[in-house]
Amino acid sequence: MSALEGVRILELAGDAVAYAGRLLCDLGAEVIKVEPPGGEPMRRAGTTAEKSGGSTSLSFERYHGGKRSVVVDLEDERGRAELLKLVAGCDAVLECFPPGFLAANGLGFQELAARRPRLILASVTPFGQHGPRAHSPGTDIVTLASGHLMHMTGMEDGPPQRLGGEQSLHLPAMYAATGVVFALFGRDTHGAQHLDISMQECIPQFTLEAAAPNCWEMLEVLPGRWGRNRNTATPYGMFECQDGWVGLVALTARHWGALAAWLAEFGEPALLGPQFAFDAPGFRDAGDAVTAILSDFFKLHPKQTLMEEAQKRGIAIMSLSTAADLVESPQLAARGFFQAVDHPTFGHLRFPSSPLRFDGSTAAARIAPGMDEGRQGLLSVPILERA
Amino acid sequence: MGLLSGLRVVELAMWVAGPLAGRILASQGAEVISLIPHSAPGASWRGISVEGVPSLSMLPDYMSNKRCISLDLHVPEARQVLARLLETSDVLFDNLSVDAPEKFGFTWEQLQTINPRLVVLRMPGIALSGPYRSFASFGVTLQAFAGINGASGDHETTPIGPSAALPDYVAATHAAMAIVAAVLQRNRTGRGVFVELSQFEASVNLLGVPLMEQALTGTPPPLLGNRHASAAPHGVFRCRDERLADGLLHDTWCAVAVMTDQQWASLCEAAGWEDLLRDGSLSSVEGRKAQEDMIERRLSEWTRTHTAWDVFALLDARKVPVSVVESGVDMLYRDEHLAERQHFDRLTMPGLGELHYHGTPLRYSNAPPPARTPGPLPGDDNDYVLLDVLGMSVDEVADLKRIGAVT
Repeated sequence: MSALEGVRILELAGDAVAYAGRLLCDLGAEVIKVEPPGGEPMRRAGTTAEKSGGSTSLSFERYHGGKRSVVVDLEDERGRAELLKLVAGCDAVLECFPPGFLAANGLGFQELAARRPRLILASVTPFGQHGPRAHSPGTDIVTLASGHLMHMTGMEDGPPQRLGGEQSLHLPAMYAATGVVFALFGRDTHGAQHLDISMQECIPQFTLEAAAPNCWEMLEVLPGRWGRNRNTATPYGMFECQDGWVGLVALTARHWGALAAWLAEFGEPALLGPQFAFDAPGFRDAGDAVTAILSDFFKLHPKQTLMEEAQKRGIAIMSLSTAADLVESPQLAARGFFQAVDHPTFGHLRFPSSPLRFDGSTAAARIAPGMDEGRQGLLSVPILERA
Repeated sequence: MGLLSGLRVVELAMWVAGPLAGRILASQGAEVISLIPHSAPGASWRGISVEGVPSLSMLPDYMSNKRCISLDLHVPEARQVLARLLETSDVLFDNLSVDAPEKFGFTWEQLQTINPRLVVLRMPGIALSGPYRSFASFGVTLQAFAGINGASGDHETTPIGPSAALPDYVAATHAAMAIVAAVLQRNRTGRGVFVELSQFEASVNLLGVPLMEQALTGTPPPLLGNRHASAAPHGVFRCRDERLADGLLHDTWCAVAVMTDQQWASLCEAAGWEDLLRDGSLSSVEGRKAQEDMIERRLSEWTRTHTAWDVFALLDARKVPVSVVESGVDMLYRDEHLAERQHFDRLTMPGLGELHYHGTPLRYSNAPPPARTPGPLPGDDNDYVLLDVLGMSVDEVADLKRIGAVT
C-alpha cells in the first residue's frame, strides 16, 4: 500500500490520535509517534503489558504497529527544539493535548507552521478547541454519551449502554484521518491548516439515520433505544437462537416472502397465513405475532445453520459473532485478514488488516517500535529530509 | 472554495454508506454527481414519514452539495452516458451489489479503457472475495456479524448495539478517506487505482484489541458494560425524569467517570457526601472498586433528585468527567457548548420549513466549506450534467428521455 507514500506524519502523545495514525500508516504514510519521557502510558495498559515488563502491550501493538518512535519532552527547552526539528520535515501533525497546551509551550499552530510551510495540524479533543466545554475532561463513556450514540444504545426500558472496545478512540479518529487526507489534497491551493476535531461532534455522524433533531422538529417524537429488536412486522434486529443470536432484516416484499417460504419449508408455515401477507390490512400491526413466531423458530436452530440456509435463499440473516467466531471466521481466513507476525515478547501476534485494498493489496502488519527507537535516524541528522 | 474543489466524483449509491461517503466529499467542495433513477430503491432522501408519507427530511444528511442525474443504467444508452461522464471524472465509487459492474458495464477492465486515470472504489458489504462474499447484509446485521453487539453491554445487557446501523457510517468515512488518498496516488503515478473497501472488515477493526487478545490468549477481554476495570464510580446514572414539550415524561441519564482520587473528592463535595469523603477506604481506586455497588447506589440516589443538566453543571464545574446522555433534543436545544460552536446547520427544506442538521465535523482554519444546500432530487441536475458537462445538444437529451435512459 503506497497511497500516501512519501507523506510523513508526526503523531504526538496520547490515545485519541493513535487510531488516526493507524489509518494513515495503513495508507502508506510514515508515522512517527512522539512519546513523552517514560514512554506512552498505553505501553503499560492492559494485563498483557506485564508480559513485556511494561515496554509494550497488545493495545500498543495494535495502534502503533509499523510506526516509528521518538521520545521528546515537550515541556523542556531541548525537547521543544527537537520537536520543531521534526516538524520541519513532516507534512502533518496529529495531537490530542488539552486545548492551549501546545501554544503555552511555544508550539502552537503559528509556531509549527512557521517551521513547515503548508503544515497540517489536526487537533483531536473531547469537545474541540473552543467553546464553554473545551476544557472539560472527556473519557470514553463521557464522549460517547455527549454525542447521541449512548442515547441510542440499550434496552427500551433500561439504561443507555456504552459500546465495548473503546469506540471513542476509533470513530472520531476516522474523521481526523480523513480530514488530514483532504488537507493533503488541498494544500497546494489552501496551504497550512489547523483542523479542529471535536470528538463530541463526530459521534452523531455515526447515528445519522436515527434523525433525532428532525423527528422532534417535525413531529415532537424523540427516537430512543429499541433494544435488540425493533419488534416490527417487518423484522429488524437480533433474535435469540439455539446457540446464540442472529441478526435479521426483511423490509421488502421480496425478502418477507422468501422468509415466510423458508420457515414453511423448515416446518413452520405460520407466516404464510393471509394475515401476514405483505400487503394485508393490519399486517404492519402484527409485530408481536411475527416476533413470537420467528423467536420460537430460531430457538430450534444454531446460528451458523440459520445464516447459511437463509443466505442461500436471499434472506439477510447474519450470525452474531463472538470474538472467538471472528478469530476463526472462514470468511476472514479466506481473506487473510489476521496477519501472523513474530513478536519478541508475545511470540505470535495476529494483527487485524486494514479493510482497504489498493489494487488488490493491503498494508502489511508490523510490530510496534521500541521506545525512542527512531531517535538515531530522525534526530541525529542535521536536517530531517522533507519527504 | 472547499479543499476538494476541482475533484469530480461519480457516485452510484444506495441506502446510507455510499451516499454518506459522497456527502463527506461534497461537504468539502468535491463535485459529486450522484446517479439515481427515480425508480431506485433505498434512496437516502426518504426521510421521516409524516402520516405515512415519507418526507425529504433526511435529504441533507446524505445529499447536500451534490449534483443528481436520473440515469437508469438498465438502459444501454444510459451506460454510454456514464462512460462519457467518466472520461471527464476523477473518481467512480459504488455500494451496489457485488455483481453490479458486470451487469451495468463498469468492470475495472472496462473502466481502464474509458479512463486509465480513474480512481475506482467499491464498498461491498462483506468483501469481493471469500466464501460469504455474496451474503446479503444490512447495517444492523453486519453490526452483529462484525462482533460489535457481542462485545457490548455487561453479563446482563449483552448483546446490545446502537439502534442505528454503525457499520454504514464506519464504511462511509473509510470510503471518503480512501478515495482522496487514492487520488493522491493517482496524481503521483498517473495511473488509476482500484480500491476495495470491505464494510465488514472496517467494522471488525473496531474490535482490534479484543480480537488480538482472543487470538493470543484464547479468551476475550471481560464484558464491562458501563463500568471500567480501573475506575469507580464509572457508569450512567438515572436523573430526574423530565416532561418535554410532547407532554410526556422522559427518563434522563448522566454518564459519570471518576478516573482519579481528586475527582472522587470533587464528586463527594458536589453530592454533599461528607461521610464518603471522610471514609479512607474509598480514597483509592482499589477501595472504591471493592465498594462499587454501594457507591453506585448512593450516586443514583443523588442524581435521581436532580435534572441531568443540573448534575452535569455541578460536576463539570468541579472538573469531574461527566456528560448528559444527550438525545438529539439535548444536542439541539440544551447543549450550550454545541450552540456556541454553531454545530447545527439550519436549512429551509421545501415543504417542511426550517430544520436542523448535524454540521460537518471537519473544521479547517483556512478552508471554509461551501454553503450547505438541501441537496438535489433525482434529475435536478440533468441539464447541468448532460448539457454543460458533456456538451450534449437539447435534441440528444430529449432522445435519452424518450428511451428512458434518463428518467
